[in-house]
Amino acid sequence: MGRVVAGVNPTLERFLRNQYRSLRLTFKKRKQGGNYVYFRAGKQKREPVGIFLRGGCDVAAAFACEPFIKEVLNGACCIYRSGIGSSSSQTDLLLQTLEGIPEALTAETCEKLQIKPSYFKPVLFKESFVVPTVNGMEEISKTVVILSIGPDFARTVYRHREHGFLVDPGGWWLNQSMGSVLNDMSSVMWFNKTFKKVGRISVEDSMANFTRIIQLIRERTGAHILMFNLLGVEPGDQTYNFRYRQNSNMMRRREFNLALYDLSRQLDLSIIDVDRILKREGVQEQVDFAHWPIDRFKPVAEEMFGILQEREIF
Amino acid sequence: MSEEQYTPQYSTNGQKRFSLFLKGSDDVTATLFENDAAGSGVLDEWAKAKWVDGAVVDVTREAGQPAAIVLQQLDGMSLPEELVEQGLDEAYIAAQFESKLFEQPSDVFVLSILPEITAELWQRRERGYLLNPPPGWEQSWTAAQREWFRAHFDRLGRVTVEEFREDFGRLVRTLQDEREAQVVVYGCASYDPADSSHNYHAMDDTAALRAHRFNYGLVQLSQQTGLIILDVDRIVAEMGGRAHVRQVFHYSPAANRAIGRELLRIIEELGFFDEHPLLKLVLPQLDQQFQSGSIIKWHSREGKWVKGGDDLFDFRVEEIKRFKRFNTDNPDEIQAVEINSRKWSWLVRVTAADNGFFRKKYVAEEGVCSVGDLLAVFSVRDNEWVKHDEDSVATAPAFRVVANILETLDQDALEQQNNG
Repeated sequence: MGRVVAGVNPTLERFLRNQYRSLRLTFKKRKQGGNYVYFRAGKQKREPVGIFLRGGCDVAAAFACEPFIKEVLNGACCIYRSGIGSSSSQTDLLLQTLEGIPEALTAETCEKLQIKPSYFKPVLFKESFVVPTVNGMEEISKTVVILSIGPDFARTVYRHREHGFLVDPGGWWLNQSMGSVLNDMSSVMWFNKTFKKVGRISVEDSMANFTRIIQLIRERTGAHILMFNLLGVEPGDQTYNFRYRQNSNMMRRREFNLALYDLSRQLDLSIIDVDRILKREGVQEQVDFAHWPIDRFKPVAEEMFGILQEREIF
Repeated sequence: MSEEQYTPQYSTNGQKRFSLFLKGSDDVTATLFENDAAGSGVLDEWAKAKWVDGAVVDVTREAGQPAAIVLQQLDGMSLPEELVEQGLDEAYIAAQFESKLFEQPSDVFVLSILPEITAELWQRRERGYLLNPPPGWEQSWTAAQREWFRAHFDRLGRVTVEEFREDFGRLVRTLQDEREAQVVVYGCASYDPADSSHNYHAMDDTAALRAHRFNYGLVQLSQQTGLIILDVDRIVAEMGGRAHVRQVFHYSPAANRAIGRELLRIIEELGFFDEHPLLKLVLPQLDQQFQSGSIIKWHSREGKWVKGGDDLFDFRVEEIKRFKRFNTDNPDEIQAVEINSRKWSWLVRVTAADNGFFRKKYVAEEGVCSVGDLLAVFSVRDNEWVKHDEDSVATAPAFRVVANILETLDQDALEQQNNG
């Protein structure tokens, strides 16, 4: 019979056991980690839908798709975010992973910058990814890959002076308070001595990189590819004259957005038009172009889900 | 426009009269004249507030046309007789050849890029002049008129961004140089409630995408000519397209009023109503997060005449804060909550976008200051005694500047560059 909870009262015992079974079933249908969620709906047993994300803070909006997907899903789905955000998603870094840089050359960099060796591995171009699901460790094929132009717009990369490979040390390191950085001057000096700044990628080079990346992903995985664009306007910016204005981030974002529209035309690529969605909902509450209020994740996820539905993913 | 010729107007010389030339359609006029529930438009309210004891605002209104059409007049083109003989929408057609844009003196010319985005141009065979037929001409003109038109005109289609930059740029330069006026250009909101495109393969540009392209082209023109942009896209985006865009390029009354108020804010900032001899240089607001900076190096000094384009000083960003705005019942109330406060090491170069005589510096190199702090005082004329006590400085308008984040964060390289 097993363990008795409610003692001699069989009715209560039965009730509690049923509640326990229901709850266990609920748990078994979903598993979540720091960078993924795996869930089931319906009874069909088939290959899970794998949604692979690589980009900045924006791609995390895909997780808000879960409730929409559950409504139509008959099987399993896993949404998985690869990399460490913007700082591992600039396209030069992504393409670099195909070069097979020996670990011996990157070991010191990994240790100093606290990055994993997988930073230099071509995980984006693999057919599948592995996550711990309700069934244990499971290899899931990529059905959809979601990318973003955000990292190329924003990130600066650095080249190893001796070995030539690129890194982006990440926002947490270079944007620390001067107090904490100055407390560890040896790291700063090591980085300055070991790497030289390459700067931000041009729009033309970025689109050339994305063209290659998209072609490779399609060839190797067959996955559908969606890309996030960026909000073009700067909330609260009252600039009205651009004379003498150089290196304007707002202009650079617009250049990237326009280039992405053209890339969509050229490569038959779908865009998750964050610019349109945020302008529709209103950007008054945003502190900057990149960080949305929490209630904006749902309309972005809805848009994404709509595109996936059109593609008959589920 | 050459820098020598650029002289900002700071005063109407005591005359309570101001002239506006509006060359645009509803997208421009509705922003100033559409009445609210109380029955007054934005321009009316502003004029009453600005001049308590009466004033005159001269407004000339013309329908908007693409710059390529307007420039024909500059090149000597007048209304072709054949168009009059055909009886094709007389007023609409005549307006394309009889603009007062190049005759009417005005303080500010207000244009719009909307005609560039939406118009379809046709060109007269043999004679070469351009025409923008009225919307719906294929239904409203008689069969004979349509036949004549198609027999004598070739369809060029919509204006390209490259053509816009060239023609509109020429138009703006002409108004700036020959009319010596400020030119303000309305952009367009890029949100279209009917457009849910996500894949542009085998598609022409949508209206929204054209708006994106032309808005960007307008910013490029502003960089080249110093024209002033009224960023309709940002204003409507802040308010929210769902509530304030009825159909593409058509905005709610509230959005129109916000756009109109922005135009008047810009006109005031241009200094038309200031008779003040002083201008004050303050630490500029880079963005909503920027809080304070420290001056690294001054590039100008007391006793020097500064003109637009001259570098003024470099500063390092010291502190930023993050704010959250909450939607309260009172939309003007913003609650500021610090989420994060960090020190940064961005270097910024501040460049003059005004002319003035450098009178006095208030903050030395290495001095730390917050946004809005007084850094220096300029006067409109040099070699003139001007009182600059606390009160007169406090009421002085701002000396306009542009702040650019420098590429290099390398302190040594920057010092080498500064030391020449």
